[in-house]
Amino acid sequence: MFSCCHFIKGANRSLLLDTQRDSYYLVPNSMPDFISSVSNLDLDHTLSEYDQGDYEIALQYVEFLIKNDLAFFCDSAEEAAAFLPISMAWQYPSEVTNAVIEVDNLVFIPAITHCIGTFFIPTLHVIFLCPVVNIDHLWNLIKPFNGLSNKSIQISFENKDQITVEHLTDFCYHHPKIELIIAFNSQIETSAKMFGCSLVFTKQKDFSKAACGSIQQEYFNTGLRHFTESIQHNTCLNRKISIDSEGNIKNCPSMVESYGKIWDTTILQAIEKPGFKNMWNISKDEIMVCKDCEFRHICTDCRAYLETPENPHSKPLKCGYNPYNNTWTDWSINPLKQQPIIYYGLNEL
Amino acid sequence: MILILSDCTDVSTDYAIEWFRYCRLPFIRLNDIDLINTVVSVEFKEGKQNIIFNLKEQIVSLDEITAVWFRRGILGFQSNFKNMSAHSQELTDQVVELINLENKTLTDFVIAKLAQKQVLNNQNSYNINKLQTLAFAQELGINIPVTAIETNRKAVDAALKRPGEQIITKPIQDIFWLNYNGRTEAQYTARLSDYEDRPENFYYSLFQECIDKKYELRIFFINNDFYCAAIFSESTDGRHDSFKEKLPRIIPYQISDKLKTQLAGLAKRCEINCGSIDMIIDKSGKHYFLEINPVGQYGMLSKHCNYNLHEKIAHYFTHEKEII
Ligand code: SF4
Ligand code: SF4
Repeated sequence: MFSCCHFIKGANRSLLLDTQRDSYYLVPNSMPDFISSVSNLDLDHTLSEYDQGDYEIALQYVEFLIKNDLAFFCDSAEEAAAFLPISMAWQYPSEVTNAVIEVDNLVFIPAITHCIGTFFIPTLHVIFLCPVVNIDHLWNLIKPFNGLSNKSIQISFENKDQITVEHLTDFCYHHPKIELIIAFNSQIETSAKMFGCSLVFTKQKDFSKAACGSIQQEYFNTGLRHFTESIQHNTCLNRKISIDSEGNIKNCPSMVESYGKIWDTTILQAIEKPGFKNMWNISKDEIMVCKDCEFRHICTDCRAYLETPENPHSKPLKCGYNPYNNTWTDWSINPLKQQPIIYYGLNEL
Repeated sequence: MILILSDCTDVSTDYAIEWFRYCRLPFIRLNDIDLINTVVSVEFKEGKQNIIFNLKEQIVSLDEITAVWFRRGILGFQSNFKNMSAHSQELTDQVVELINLENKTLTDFVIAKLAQKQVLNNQNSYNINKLQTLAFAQELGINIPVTAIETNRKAVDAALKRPGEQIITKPIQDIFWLNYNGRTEAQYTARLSDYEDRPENFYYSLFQECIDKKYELRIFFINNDFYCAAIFSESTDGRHDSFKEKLPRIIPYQISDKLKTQLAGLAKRCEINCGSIDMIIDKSGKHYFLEINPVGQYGMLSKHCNYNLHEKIAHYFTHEKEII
């Protein structure tokens, strides 16, 4: 098999992930077993030892892999030995890869920028909870964040005054680092691309904490970087830092635990506090239910809303998938989830 | 201080720089125009030579530069002398030629001094002679496709024609781009059979036997460490077309120790210590060397094989920092 293709075994079936072509196949669990037993061996010889039924199935598997360009034949064992597995290492040249910053009270902004200082954060996501009156206002609001050391910025704001795509044209042109703008509570649903920036206008009213964390197939990520990160780390919280609207430095705005306030703690100090990085390393293989799910390494995660709130290794609350019977249902009406839903106050939305 | 000679469009430099920053390596990146007339003065006194640079408004002396990464930028000199309208064209031409000679001497000296630092490559080997590299490979016992430069059909057939086999032709040095009638066309590898009428006689052109490819190898090397990928592409049409078609498979591959030693020898003779090598493996498993390139892109290789080559580049410089 091409080493860019990987099996993820679930309770009932497996997912065959093709990280290079960004696609996946759902296959029986016997396929990965079969592949590992014949990989790099003389196929004809191995198959000749199978009984009739297994032989037919094995042949079907081989055909499937070849047809979908997932495997290839080598002429000799030496040739096969030259094909090495892909390293599963995940590295990134920065202590933190992304930050989520909630801005409600504008008075906090100097303290926010001060606590970040010169610390390099590749992707900065700024969520304006305060009303954005018009486009000039947005220009002013984003100013202090432009100066921070980063590669790209994403912004979300409540579209009170019906800012339009046209309004944002000039804005995008002058802010090349901004790669995503989400205008929530808009009157229209639309998206556009402007000077390399994606614009999303959504009618979704609430962009606060409680709206985050939903697990959907649309969010699945089939890339190699996501896959390798998922093997060892938490795919939502790894190297993430956030500042909530009250100035708390946290793993994410929805978390309860605060690792200091922006007035007395720098970002660097916060992440070095005991416990902060614990969340970074909770991988899907350690999470209940997810560890039996075939989607686990292309899936996103959420540690803020859990099925069993007191267990940090519990399954994300907002996932409607059951890997034991392979069905998706609406999580919010699942009778078993009503208790945690009330616990997190999600029923009030 | 590490000097990075690059150009502003090179993303490989961008990625490597993230690692430089992470490893706390002091560096200064110079792109295109930042590389012209960077020298403030060259002085020979008190028994030693010193060069003072002005690098993006920062005054740096030769001693402060510990290492240089010749990625693709070219350090050089340019006089703003245009023409002397009062004088004849003849005189102008002579002055231009004189200045060019002066510039060359100055550039060569500055580069030679920089080359004494910890360096990745050298700008003098960016455009390494392709025929020379084939010759080096052959001398080191690395298999290469049968290659001939000829001026007429008969000679090509005599040198290369085998029953049932194809012959390809490509530029002797690099792929080049022709602009005409507002269109841009690339001159790259093509099969001879693609040309309907072939003249009997022609200007010097390069021909090669067409290898019945099983897969290609792209080998990145830095300081005798090799990172290799096998590339499976469905291309049937010449070699350089492969990437246009369905996404090729690019997966890790290990070359033999014998080949590693040979390629290390080749890199040494080409005077480059970092770059990419292209090879082909034919249906019978035989290797053929195609080319070696110090300035090529290795991002694809790094990404698909998870080799983290950007970090390897930064690491090369951290390593040396400890020694100094
Ligand atoms: S942990 Fe959950 S709530 Fe927090 S950012 Fe991740 S998905 Fe959103
Ligand atoms: S159970 Fe749900 S959250 Fe867990 S890995 Fe599967 S799809 Fe993702």
